[in-house]
Amino acid sequence: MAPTTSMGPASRWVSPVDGASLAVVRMIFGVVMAFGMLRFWGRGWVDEFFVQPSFHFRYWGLAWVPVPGEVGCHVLVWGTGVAALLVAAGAFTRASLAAFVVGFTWLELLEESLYLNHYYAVSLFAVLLLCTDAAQVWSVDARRRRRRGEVPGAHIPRWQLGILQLQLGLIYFFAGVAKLQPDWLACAQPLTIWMGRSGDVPVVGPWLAHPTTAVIMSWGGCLFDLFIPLVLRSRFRLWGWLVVVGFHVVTGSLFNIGLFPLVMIGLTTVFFAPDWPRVLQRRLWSHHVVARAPLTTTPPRLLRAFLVVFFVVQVLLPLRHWAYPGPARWTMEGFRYAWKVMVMEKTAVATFHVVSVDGTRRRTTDGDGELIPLQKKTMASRPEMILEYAHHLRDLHEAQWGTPVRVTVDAFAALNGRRSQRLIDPDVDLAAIEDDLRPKTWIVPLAPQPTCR
Amino acid sequence: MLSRALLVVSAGAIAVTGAALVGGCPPSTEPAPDVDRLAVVAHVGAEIMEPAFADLADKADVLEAQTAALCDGGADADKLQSAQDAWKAARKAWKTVEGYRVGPMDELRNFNSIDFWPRRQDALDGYLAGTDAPTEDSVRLGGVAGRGFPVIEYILWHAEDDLMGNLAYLGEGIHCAWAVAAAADLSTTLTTLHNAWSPDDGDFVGTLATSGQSPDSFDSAQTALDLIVNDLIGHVEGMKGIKLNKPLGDRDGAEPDPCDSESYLAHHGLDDLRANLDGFRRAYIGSVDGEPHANSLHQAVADLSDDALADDILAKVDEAEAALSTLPPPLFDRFTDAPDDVRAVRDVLGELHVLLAVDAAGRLGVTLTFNDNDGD
Repeated sequence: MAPTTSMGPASRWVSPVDGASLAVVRMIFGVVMAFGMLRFWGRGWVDEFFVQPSFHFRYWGLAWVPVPGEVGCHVLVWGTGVAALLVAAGAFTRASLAAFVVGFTWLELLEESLYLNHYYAVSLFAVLLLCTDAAQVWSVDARRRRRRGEVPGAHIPRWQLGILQLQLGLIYFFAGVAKLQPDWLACAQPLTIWMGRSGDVPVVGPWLAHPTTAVIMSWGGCLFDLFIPLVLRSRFRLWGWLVVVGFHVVTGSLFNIGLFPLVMIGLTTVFFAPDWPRVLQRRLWSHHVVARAPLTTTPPRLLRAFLVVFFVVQVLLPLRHWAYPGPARWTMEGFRYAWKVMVMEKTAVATFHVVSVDGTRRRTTDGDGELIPLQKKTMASRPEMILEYAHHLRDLHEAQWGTPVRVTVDAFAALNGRRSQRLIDPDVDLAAIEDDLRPKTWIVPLAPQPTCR
Repeated sequence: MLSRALLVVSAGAIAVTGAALVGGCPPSTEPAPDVDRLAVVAHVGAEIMEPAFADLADKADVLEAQTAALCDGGADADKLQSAQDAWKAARKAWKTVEGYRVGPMDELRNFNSIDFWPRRQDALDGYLAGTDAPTEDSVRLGGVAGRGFPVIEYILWHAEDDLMGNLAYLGEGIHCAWAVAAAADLSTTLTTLHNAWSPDDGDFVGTLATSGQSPDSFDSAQTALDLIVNDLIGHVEGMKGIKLNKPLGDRDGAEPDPCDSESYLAHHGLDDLRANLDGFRRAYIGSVDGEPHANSLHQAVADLSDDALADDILAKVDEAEAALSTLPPPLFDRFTDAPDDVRAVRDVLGELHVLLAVDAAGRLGVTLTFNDNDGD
């Protein structure tokens, strides 16, 4: 990126700050992501999730993203992991970050049932890092520049930290807003269900499984999400960060949330003073630090426009569920990309009925033999994936039987401890339904019933 | 200053929101009882599953003895009847435990050697056309196509109800000897399976009872409960899908094919399904006398529910049994002459599956699949 020098009065956000904290974030991000890719490969998930399924659920509007073959999937995972390592080292940083963004996002887009909020967050942070001078200090790139006789700056403009802080703040804030609903606050669900699983944890099990614990954790979690961005921006940021560590360690050990805690613990260090790593370095090693000429820069016009659009989208996406009737955790309309983290325990089953229009041929299937268990489980609770699979069954059978078909589904789901109810109108021919962003009138509304137990 | 103001305003907002929400959702008047998951899995293992595997091993011994007697000195009608009765008794015991896959059956991976279905007809006919006298070892080495209940059924009921036809088939070549060897192999397999459960041997009963307490056991009682419940859910799903939907032709969008149904030569298909349901009921209520035990899945679901879910599940099992009883035997014929009646049974099983996989699994916190790629 070629920064432009600000000639006007220096505002806070274009003022130069030490690039050390951004370098630490870059290193943590790269290492955790490299570990994540290695873990993904080591657990056999490349084959299980990408290679074995003969059918892949695709994101709306993104079905055109090509699915590599077996070798291609492995290469993509390894290539993304190597790119992450290069990011950590600060080697060819911008190219490595670009490769990581492409590789990681491509992998995400291959299979919709793999969607996780933290995967989405990773892609966003990688894009934002790409907008920064993340390799200004403590990087192979900086060393190479010095060898070439250049004097790399040790500073970055403050906005480069600010955009990461803003994204983190949005994630926490909207995760908190998503918890402002009766299931979470009044009924302590789904934490009551989840904490009940911990009853036989040695020593603390009975306390963990006690219903009051779920209530305390629900309210505590909501308050944490809503206010931690403010605390991290205040003079209590160290205490706030320690709370972040404690919160994510606890949730990471109690629930199955993969690398999300590590990602958030690492990235929230961006709220510390920009030179905190150097202060720490001086204290630990009494290392002499050379002060270099600071730069006061504003983002180039194009980058500024991009960041504005980026954050407008990031604010609007979590709000879009208001355009749809019913709770998003039931309809799943507006649920994704909205940081509705851990707000539902939704079990479901779906059985499809494919019948030729003349009634002479019929098939009943739940996807057995074609879908892997994760796909079946995820699809059954998500109307848009049910529709996608119904369309797949329509296309398959119309080709096989040579006649138009109707596709209906018996889909039942239970949300946060409620009794099961139909999720989809069983009389609706899904084969004739267009897959678009309009409200899905064929979703059966969530019946009002008390959920507390 | 701005931060402080935001904090105050936000705290006020959340307090008001919370109060409104609490008022809008009637809280429970009493705390959820503490469900002792360890007691449940220990009880189900010791009082239901292990005894059922012991009974199965005993009945497999009888089948081995009766099959040996059948072929000792030439088969006759009485000896054939005794062998067929022994097969049915052992088969019923097997179908009772078929859903108890947690532990030994999963670890020993011997399900297919007990009940590989559908039969590999060509391979089996090839074996039976041989001339070398089969032994238990040679049958075992031949693979699943020549082992287990379906193979013995094929030999004992080759001509279905035609007694003379069956006796004639038994008298040919190595047919009877293969049945003897297969029954011996089956008995050995099922004895091994029971031994793995038995407190006097592999002690999987003890493993379940020390879940979360011993490094040699499960990480937690919840993990053991997850496995047991998931196996039972899969069991009911299998009854609905593989055992009924497939022969109906509905699973694959094809014509009905009753030959996909189990035990059709012995006309034991309905009894298979009844035993399947009985095995489920026993594991669910934690008793064999029909009364739910205090340390049962039924009681755990009841304790974790404000509603009648636990009893609804039992009622659905009753309904499935009643629907089964409306089907006159043999089930084989019903797939073609009364497919809608079979579909009615299938649909009731589907409703039972929903109650288990959606409602009960949610209440028990049972994850339907284990995958730490899950999360938020």
